[in-house]
Amino acid sequence: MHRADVTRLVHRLLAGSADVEDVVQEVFLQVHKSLKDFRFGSRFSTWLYRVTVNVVLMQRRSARSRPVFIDAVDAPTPRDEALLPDEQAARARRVEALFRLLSRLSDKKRVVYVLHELEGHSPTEIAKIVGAPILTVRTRLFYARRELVQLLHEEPSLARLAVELEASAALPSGADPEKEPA
Amino acid sequence: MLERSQGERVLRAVTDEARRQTGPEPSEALEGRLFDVLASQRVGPSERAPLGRARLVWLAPVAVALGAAAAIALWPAAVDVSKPPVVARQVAGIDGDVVTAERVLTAARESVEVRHAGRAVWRLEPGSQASVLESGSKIRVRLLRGAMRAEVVPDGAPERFVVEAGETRVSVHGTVFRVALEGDESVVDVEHGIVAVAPLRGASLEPLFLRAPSSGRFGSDGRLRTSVASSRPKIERAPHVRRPVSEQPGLPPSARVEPAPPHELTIGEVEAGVATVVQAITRCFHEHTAPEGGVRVTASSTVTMTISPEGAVTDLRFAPPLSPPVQACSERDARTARFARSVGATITRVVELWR
Repeated sequence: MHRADVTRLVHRLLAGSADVEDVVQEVFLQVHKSLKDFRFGSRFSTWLYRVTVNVVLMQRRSARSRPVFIDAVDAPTPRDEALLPDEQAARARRVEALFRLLSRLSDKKRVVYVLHELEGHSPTEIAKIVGAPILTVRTRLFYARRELVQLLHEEPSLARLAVELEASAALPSGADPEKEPA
Repeated sequence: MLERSQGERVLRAVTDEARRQTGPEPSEALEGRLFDVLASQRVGPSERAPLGRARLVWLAPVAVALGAAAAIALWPAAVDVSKPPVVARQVAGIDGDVVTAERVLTAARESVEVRHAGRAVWRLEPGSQASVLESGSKIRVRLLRGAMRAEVVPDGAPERFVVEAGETRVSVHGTVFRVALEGDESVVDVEHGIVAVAPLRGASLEPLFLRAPSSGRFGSDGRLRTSVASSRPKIERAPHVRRPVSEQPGLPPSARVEPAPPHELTIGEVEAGVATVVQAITRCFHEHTAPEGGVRVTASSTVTMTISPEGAVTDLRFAPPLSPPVQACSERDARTARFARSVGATITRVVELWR
């Protein structure tokens, strides 16, 4: 159960990176090393999330300091300009686009956004996980949302979603958007 | 450029989609790799942590956290020897407490020592193979091939170390002994102390006590074939010794009265008990707090609870204290919470209340 939770959180915090499994392994090694310090002062899951967040941040820091191939640096971030075959694929592309945007946020903002919006933790819990005051968590959340909104237009699939949402909002309730008006 | 409100709607919608997406499945191979890493890191004797709780505490959550709460195999058929064996001769010693349940240990050309900190050390002889079935409060090892010698630290609790060999079950309390598989027979040599030997599948049969120095050869049905004693033959019937109720098939629930040996609370047991206490405190806070004029009342306090070996909450302290009626109600109601039987514990938890 915890393994699935940790894997999901790592995947989200790494914004879809391929290193998920290595990081999950590192999380549990860290749990093994640090468990003697766990004193039931908080829920075990809160403590586990805290370890997970710290390991992910360490991994990202070390990844930044590693030399990267020129190709990788020059390669533009893939954008989803292709036509979407169906709704499921469209959703997957939108989620990928969101992860791309998340990866452009600072670590602190990304962590609180993922923990609150995707994992469903309250600001109080997040404050315990990241070791920051609740007010700071709320502030980071506010700026994370604002930054993401500003970045949305850079992802075509999300811009299309805006058009779709606007179109569906303009329709009278119960109307089928696929149907031609009589 | 998207308008702000429009952008917020899009962000909310796509965030909802991302939340519903389950993400990658955790790899099954991860657990095995992890335990191999841990086993290779923990070479040599490991010291018991100062709290005494550490061994169980880290073992339990790692196992639980990994979803590796493997079903405890009661019968040999459940032992999966097809899993990739840990080739143990590559390391000088193995911490038995970190070996995954049902993983197979193989001693190739050199013997392999497996340690359970503060409890037992067993050595797998060259060419032997065994699997650790349980390494919690009870250690249960199945000898699959060859021979092993075990030294078990004396302990008042029964059935702390069990070796299954062929159809024979050897349980010890504090002793030095060797078990070998020879064809379909098993040979038990007791160097020191006393062991109880019984057929693996015969719950109705009473165990034999082999007292050192002596040895016994047990057949494919787990019954004693021949016994060899050195200076003082001491093979005794032990009619007063009962096998654990969990291993006595056919007993009605009412007959299962044997209490479990005390153990340290697992994280799951702590969380279950603490949840009940926190619920009681929250209920009391709601009953005895009356916010006026739409003002939200919040309180935060660190509660320290003392748990008796029977699982009762014997003491409850709040720092800072709650309002007198809330605290009196909490102290009364929280004491109705029941934890699992254990060696006892003191648990501290921060509770946040609002109304």
